[in-house]
Amino acid sequence: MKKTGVFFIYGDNGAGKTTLLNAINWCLYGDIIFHGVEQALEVKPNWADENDVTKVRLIIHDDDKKYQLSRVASCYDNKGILDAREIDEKGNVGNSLSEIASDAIVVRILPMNIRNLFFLSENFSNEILGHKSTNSLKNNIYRVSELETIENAIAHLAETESKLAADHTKALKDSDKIEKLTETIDRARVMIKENEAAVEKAKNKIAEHEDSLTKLRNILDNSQHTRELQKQRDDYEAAISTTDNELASCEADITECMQKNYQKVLLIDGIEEYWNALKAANDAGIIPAPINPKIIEQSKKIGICACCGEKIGENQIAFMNERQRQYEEIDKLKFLADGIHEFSNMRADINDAWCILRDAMDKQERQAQIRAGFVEQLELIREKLDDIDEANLPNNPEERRREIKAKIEKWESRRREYAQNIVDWTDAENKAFAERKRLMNSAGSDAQELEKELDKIKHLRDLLITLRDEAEQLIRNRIKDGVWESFKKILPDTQFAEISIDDNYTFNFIDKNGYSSTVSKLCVGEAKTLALSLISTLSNDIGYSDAPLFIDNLFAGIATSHFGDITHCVESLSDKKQIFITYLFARDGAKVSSNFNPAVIKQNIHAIKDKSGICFVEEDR
Amino acid sequence: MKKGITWPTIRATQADKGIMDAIKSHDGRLKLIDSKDLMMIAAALAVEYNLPYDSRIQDKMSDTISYANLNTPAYEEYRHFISAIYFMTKAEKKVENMKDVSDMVKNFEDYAHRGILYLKDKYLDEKEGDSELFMNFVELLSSRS
Repeated sequence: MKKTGVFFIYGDNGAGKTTLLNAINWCLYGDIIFHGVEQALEVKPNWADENDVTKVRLIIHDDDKKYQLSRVASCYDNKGILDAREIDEKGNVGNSLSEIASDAIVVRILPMNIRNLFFLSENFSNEILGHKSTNSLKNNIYRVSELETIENAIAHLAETESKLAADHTKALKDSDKIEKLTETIDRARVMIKENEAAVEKAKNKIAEHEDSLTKLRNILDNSQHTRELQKQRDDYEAAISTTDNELASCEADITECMQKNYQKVLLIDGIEEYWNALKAANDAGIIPAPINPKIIEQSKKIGICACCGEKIGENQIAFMNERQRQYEEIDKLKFLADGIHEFSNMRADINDAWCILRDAMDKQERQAQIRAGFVEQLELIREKLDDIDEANLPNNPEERRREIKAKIEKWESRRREYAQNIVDWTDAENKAFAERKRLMNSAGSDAQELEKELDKIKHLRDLLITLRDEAEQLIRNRIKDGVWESFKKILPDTQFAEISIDDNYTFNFIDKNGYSSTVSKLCVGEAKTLALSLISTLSNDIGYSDAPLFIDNLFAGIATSHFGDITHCVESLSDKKQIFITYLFARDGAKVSSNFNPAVIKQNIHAIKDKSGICFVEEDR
Repeated sequence: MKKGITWPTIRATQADKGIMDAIKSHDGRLKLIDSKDLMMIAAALAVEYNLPYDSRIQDKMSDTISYANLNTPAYEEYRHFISAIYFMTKAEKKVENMKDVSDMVKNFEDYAHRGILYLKDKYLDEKEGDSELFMNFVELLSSRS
């Protein structure tokens, strides 16, 4: 085949024209692009034998190289596997190329994503110019340009942005929670510190009061001990006082004994001699013993001696009277007679005095020993008392002790309360910390970082959108201009004065009167002309100007008046590429549409043939 | 007391009285002793130790030794001791020489004076006078009981 030109495939209905195009498509891409034929979705017809296989083989030229592309389908595999082999200059077919290499060959011929612009069904104008189908102009333009990539990037960024926004929203919520939890943690830590300080203070207070209690206890112990010592001291002092009194009494007895008896012991010998002399003198009548006048009187009265109890007579009475008379006469010596009686017991008195003195001295010695013992004990007690500081003794120690114990209880209660507070706040801190950690881990990053990331994504997306919009605008303008130039070239007598393309790639035509109309208002011929102009423009722009073009049933629905325009359009396209066109070659008698005039078609085809030198290809089952 | 006999008041020299007051104030076993008892002990000491006569007995006498005279019954023993001292000294141990109680008192004052001087030396002025005097008493009492 020639590298450029138009190749017509004609035949009856069901002859396999479209199937042939489908086969080429299937060989290249593994799917069926044209529908409307029986079992279009099945590569292998259902009437085929089970063991039959569907096999398509294409020989293609790629620059200076030649390849054989083949694909085989079984009843189990509609898609089959592309088998690409290089054909050398001698026509020898080489080994199968790798799948990647095979796909690369296909891509160099015509990438799958833009093949919709090159495999055209009979309604291709509606599909391409319409904006609803997957083969809409916009979708095709997006596919053949980088816009799809940009759009995908925008969509991806939008999706990412959406996710980030969701994360950001969640992070903001989590951030609030984290902030509150941080506040809780901070507050808990402050409270823990405060309570720890309070516990320490309480401990110090308790220690202080316990120290006071211990001191008080010691004081009380000392006080009791002091009282005991004081009592002992008083007892000993009293005992010493008693012994002192005893000693004083003894000393008084001794002194009195001495003062009253010293002269006696000094003079006892002389007094005894004097006493004997007095008795002798008395016996000699020098100092007659006096007789008590009362006794004499009483004895005389009763007749019985008052001294001896003997009966007295006149003689005795006379003796008494004589003695009384003599006694009174010896006046100057009579007082000495009393000395006989006075000194009669002198020795006994001295003996008594000795006994008294000895007893007193013995007692004095004993009391002195006792006293010395008491004094010794008293000194010890006084030493102990001197060591006791009684100045600190409280007035009411027991009440003071109760007060201190009450204070200790109060501070102990507070300490327990503070300690429990520490436990509670520590628990709260741990829970808040764990929750915050969980939130921070789940958030991955905080809201600010997410916001920055989101801004970057937004900025990038905005840039891409701007880029897309600008690129799209350029593309639209180029398409519009290119299409309009082609359109005017093909239809120089067109009634339209201007063409525009909106955001949905919908063409609008403005006639010379200023009225606008959409593509839908165009006739099929005009629409197909417009579509082919568009394809021509796009294929030039996207670098696939030489890619083959497959048009199924090109003249379907076209008024004969537009055959020439279509033919002219195809002819202009064929300068750079191969164009395969099927058309219905109705046999004689076959029903054709009223708009279909085979003669006109043949005429136009022949015109093409004459210009391009292409040959007819007739396919028959 | 028999009628017709009046005992004179005992006196001592003023110096003796001062010594006696010092003895009565001295911290010893004669402290606060009655003046007449002190004079009796002094006289007994003079008799017992045959203390020599001292002419200062002729010095001015003080009669304020005791405002109670010896004529009351309470001093009967005291009077007999004066008599006994007189018997042992100036009466030359003859009862018939003992008719003058005034002389007995003077004799007593004489011996008391001697004894007071002795006590001054041995009791007041000696460091261990009180103790030695007391020991003397104890020994005498022990030996003569």
